[in-house]
Amino acid sequence: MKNRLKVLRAERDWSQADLAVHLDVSRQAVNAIETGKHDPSLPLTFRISRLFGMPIEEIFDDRT
Amino acid sequence: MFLSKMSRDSQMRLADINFGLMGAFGMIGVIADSFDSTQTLANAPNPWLTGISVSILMLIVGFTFTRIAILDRNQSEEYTFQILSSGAVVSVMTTLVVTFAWTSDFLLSRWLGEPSSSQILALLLGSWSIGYFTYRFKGIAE
Repeated sequence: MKNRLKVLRAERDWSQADLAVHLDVSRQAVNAIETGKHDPSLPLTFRISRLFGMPIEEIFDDRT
Repeated sequence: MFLSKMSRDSQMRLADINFGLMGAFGMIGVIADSFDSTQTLANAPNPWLTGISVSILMLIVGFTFTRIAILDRNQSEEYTFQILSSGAVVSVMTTLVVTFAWTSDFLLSRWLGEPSSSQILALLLGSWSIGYFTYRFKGIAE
Protein backbone atom coordinates (compact mmCIF):
# COMPACT_ATOMS: atom_id res chain seq x y z
CA MET A 1 0.00 0.00 0.00
CA LYS A 2 1.41 3.37 -1.02
CA ASN A 3 1.64 6.15 1.54
CA ARG A 4 2.95 9.67 2.05
CA LEU A 5 4.59 9.00 5.37
CA LYS A 6 8.11 9.81 4.20
CA VAL A 7 7.02 13.14 2.70
CA LEU A 8 4.98 14.13 5.76
CA ARG A 9 7.87 13.18 8.03
CA ALA A 10 10.32 15.19 5.93
CA GLU A 11 8.04 18.25 6.04
CA ARG A 12 8.36 18.18 9.81
CA ASP A 13 12.09 17.50 9.64
CA TRP A 14 11.65 14.30 11.64
CA SER A 15 13.92 11.29 11.39
CA GLN A 16 12.44 7.80 11.25
CA ALA A 17 13.45 7.44 14.89
CA ASP A 18 11.57 10.65 15.80
CA LEU A 19 8.42 9.41 14.09
CA ALA A 20 8.80 6.02 15.75
CA VAL A 21 8.83 7.70 19.18
CA HIS A 22 5.69 9.70 18.31
CA LEU A 23 3.90 6.54 17.18
CA ASP A 24 5.29 4.24 19.87
CA VAL A 25 6.68 1.76 17.35
CA SER A 26 10.20 0.75 16.34
CA ARG A 27 12.27 2.67 13.80
CA GLN A 28 12.29 -0.52 11.74
CA ALA A 29 8.49 -0.49 11.66
CA VAL A 30 8.46 3.11 10.37
CA ASN A 31 10.98 2.13 7.69
CA ALA A 32 8.91 -0.92 6.72
CA ILE A 33 5.73 1.17 6.41
CA GLU A 34 7.47 3.88 4.35
CA THR A 35 8.94 1.32 1.96
CA GLY A 36 5.65 -0.57 1.62
CA LYS A 37 6.93 -3.69 3.36
CA HIS A 38 4.41 -3.48 6.15
CA ASP A 39 0.78 -2.39 6.17
CA PRO A 40 0.03 -0.85 9.57
CA SER A 41 -2.84 -2.09 11.70
CA LEU A 42 -6.01 -0.03 12.00
CA PRO A 43 -5.09 1.36 15.47
CA LEU A 44 -1.65 2.42 14.21
CA THR A 45 -3.19 3.92 11.07
CA PHE A 46 -5.46 6.04 13.27
CA ARG A 47 -2.47 7.12 15.38
CA ILE A 48 -0.65 8.20 12.21
CA SER A 49 -3.73 10.05 11.00
CA ARG A 50 -4.12 11.89 14.30
CA LEU A 51 -0.41 12.71 14.53
CA PHE A 52 -0.37 14.41 11.13
CA GLY A 53 -3.88 15.84 11.53
CA MET A 54 -5.01 14.39 8.22
CA PRO A 55 -7.64 11.86 7.13
CA ILE A 56 -6.34 8.34 6.57
CA GLU A 57 -7.08 8.41 2.82
CA GLU A 58 -4.85 11.47 2.40
CA ILE A 59 -1.93 9.55 3.88
CA PHE A 60 -2.54 6.04 2.54
CA ASP A 61 -3.58 4.93 -0.91
CA ASP A 62 -4.71 1.32 -1.28
CA ARG A 63 -5.16 1.58 -5.05
CA THR A 64 -2.23 -0.08 -6.80
CA MET B 1 -4.00 -20.37 -6.77
CA PHE B 2 -6.77 -22.62 -5.41
CA LEU B 3 -7.50 -20.29 -2.49
CA SER B 4 -7.60 -17.18 -4.68
CA LYS B 5 -10.56 -18.62 -6.62
CA MET B 6 -12.56 -19.27 -3.45
CA SER B 7 -14.79 -16.67 -1.87
CA ARG B 8 -13.55 -15.14 1.40
CA ASP B 9 -16.41 -16.85 3.27
CA SER B 10 -15.40 -20.21 1.81
CA GLN B 11 -11.77 -19.64 2.81
CA MET B 12 -12.84 -18.93 6.40
CA ARG B 13 -15.10 -22.00 6.46
CA LEU B 14 -12.27 -24.13 5.02
CA ALA B 15 -9.94 -22.89 7.78
CA ASP B 16 -12.61 -23.66 10.41
CA ILE B 17 -13.04 -27.19 9.05
CA ASN B 18 -9.28 -27.79 8.75
CA PHE B 19 -8.49 -26.66 12.26
CA GLY B 20 -11.50 -28.53 13.67
CA LEU B 21 -10.27 -31.74 12.03
CA MET B 22 -6.71 -31.05 13.16
CA GLY B 23 -7.89 -30.71 16.76
CA ALA B 24 -9.97 -33.89 16.58
CA PHE B 25 -7.21 -35.91 14.88
CA GLY B 26 -4.67 -34.49 17.34
CA MET B 27 -6.71 -35.78 20.29
CA ILE B 28 -7.42 -39.13 18.62
CA GLY B 29 -3.76 -39.45 17.59
CA VAL B 30 -2.47 -38.81 21.10
CA ILE B 31 -4.81 -41.43 22.57
CA ALA B 32 -4.30 -43.96 19.76
CA ASP B 33 -0.53 -43.63 19.94
CA SER B 34 -0.66 -44.46 23.67
CA PHE B 35 -1.71 -47.99 22.69
CA ASP B 36 1.44 -48.40 20.57
CA SER B 37 3.69 -50.36 22.94
CA THR B 38 6.83 -49.46 20.99
CA GLN B 39 6.29 -45.77 21.76
CA THR B 40 5.12 -46.04 25.36
CA LEU B 41 7.38 -46.29 28.36
CA ALA B 42 7.39 -49.76 29.86
CA ASN B 43 6.26 -48.48 33.24
CA ALA B 44 3.70 -45.99 31.92
CA PRO B 45 0.15 -46.24 33.28
CA ASN B 46 -2.57 -47.76 31.12
CA PRO B 47 -2.88 -46.39 27.56
CA TRP B 48 -6.25 -44.71 28.17
CA LEU B 49 -4.89 -42.82 31.17
CA THR B 50 -1.79 -41.79 29.21
CA GLY B 51 -3.77 -40.64 26.17
CA ILE B 52 -6.37 -38.70 28.16
CA SER B 53 -3.70 -37.11 30.41
CA VAL B 54 -1.71 -35.90 27.42
CA SER B 55 -4.92 -34.61 25.77
CA ILE B 56 -5.83 -32.64 28.90
CA LEU B 57 -2.28 -31.31 29.12
CA MET B 58 -2.51 -30.24 25.45
CA LEU B 59 -5.79 -28.39 26.18
CA ILE B 60 -4.43 -26.62 29.27
CA VAL B 61 -1.10 -25.61 27.71
CA GLY B 62 -2.83 -24.69 24.42
CA PHE B 63 -5.38 -22.40 26.11
CA THR B 64 -2.68 -20.91 28.35
CA PHE B 65 -0.53 -19.97 25.38
CA THR B 66 -3.59 -18.63 23.56
CA ARG B 67 -4.02 -16.15 26.42
CA ILE B 68 -0.29 -15.41 26.53
CA ALA B 69 -0.28 -14.76 22.76
CA ILE B 70 -3.10 -12.20 23.18
CA LEU B 71 -1.14 -10.43 25.92
CA ASP B 72 1.98 -10.65 23.80
CA ARG B 73 0.21 -9.11 20.81
CA ASN B 74 -1.19 -6.27 22.90
CA GLN B 75 2.16 -5.48 24.53
CA SER B 76 4.48 -6.07 21.57
CA GLU B 77 5.39 -3.74 18.80
CA GLU B 78 2.94 -4.74 16.04
CA TYR B 79 5.50 -5.07 13.24
CA THR B 80 7.66 -7.37 15.39
CA PHE B 81 4.68 -9.49 16.40
CA GLN B 82 3.51 -9.83 12.79
CA ILE B 83 6.97 -10.98 11.68
CA LEU B 84 7.18 -13.42 14.60
CA SER B 85 3.72 -14.87 14.00
CA SER B 86 4.17 -15.09 10.21
CA GLY B 87 7.51 -16.81 10.82
CA ALA B 88 5.76 -19.25 13.16
CA VAL B 89 3.37 -20.24 10.36
CA VAL B 90 6.36 -20.97 8.10
CA SER B 91 7.91 -22.96 10.93
CA VAL B 92 4.83 -25.11 11.62
CA MET B 93 4.23 -25.86 7.93
CA THR B 94 7.90 -26.65 7.28
CA THR B 95 8.07 -28.93 10.31
CA LEU B 96 4.88 -30.75 9.29
CA VAL B 97 5.98 -31.33 5.70
CA VAL B 98 9.60 -32.26 6.46
CA THR B 99 8.60 -34.53 9.36
CA PHE B 100 6.05 -36.25 7.14
CA ALA B 101 8.67 -36.76 4.41
CA TRP B 102 11.28 -37.86 6.96
CA THR B 103 9.05 -40.43 8.65
CA SER B 104 7.56 -41.85 5.44
CA ASP B 105 9.04 -45.19 4.40
CA PHE B 106 8.63 -44.33 0.73
CA LEU B 107 10.37 -40.94 1.06
CA LEU B 108 13.33 -40.09 3.30
CA SER B 109 13.01 -42.57 6.17
CA ARG B 110 14.74 -45.43 4.33
CA TRP B 111 17.89 -43.32 3.87
CA LEU B 112 17.86 -41.05 6.91
CA GLY B 113 16.22 -43.19 9.56
CA GLU B 114 13.55 -41.85 11.94
CA PRO B 115 13.96 -38.27 13.23
CA SER B 116 14.53 -37.81 16.95
CA SER B 117 12.43 -35.38 19.00
CA SER B 118 15.49 -33.10 19.28
CA GLN B 119 15.85 -33.04 15.51
CA ILE B 120 12.17 -32.15 15.09
CA LEU B 121 12.57 -29.36 17.66
CA ALA B 122 15.68 -28.12 15.81
CA LEU B 123 13.68 -28.21 12.56
CA LEU B 124 10.91 -26.15 14.18
CA LEU B 125 13.27 -23.51 15.57
CA GLY B 126 15.45 -23.40 12.46
CA SER B 127 12.52 -22.89 10.11
CA TRP B 128 11.06 -20.23 12.45
CA SER B 129 14.36 -18.37 12.14
CA ILE B 130 14.26 -18.68 8.34
CA GLY B 131 10.67 -17.37 8.28
CA TYR B 132 11.48 -14.53 10.67
CA PHE B 133 14.49 -13.24 8.74
CA THR B 134 12.85 -13.68 5.35
CA TYR B 135 9.89 -11.52 6.44
CA ARG B 136 12.24 -9.17 8.28
CA PHE B 137 14.17 -8.36 5.10
CA LYS B 138 11.51 -8.87 2.44
CA GLY B 139 8.60 -7.43 4.40
CA ILE B 140 5.15 -8.86 5.01
CA ALA B 141 3.00 -6.63 2.84
CA GLU B 142 3.92 -8.14 -0.54
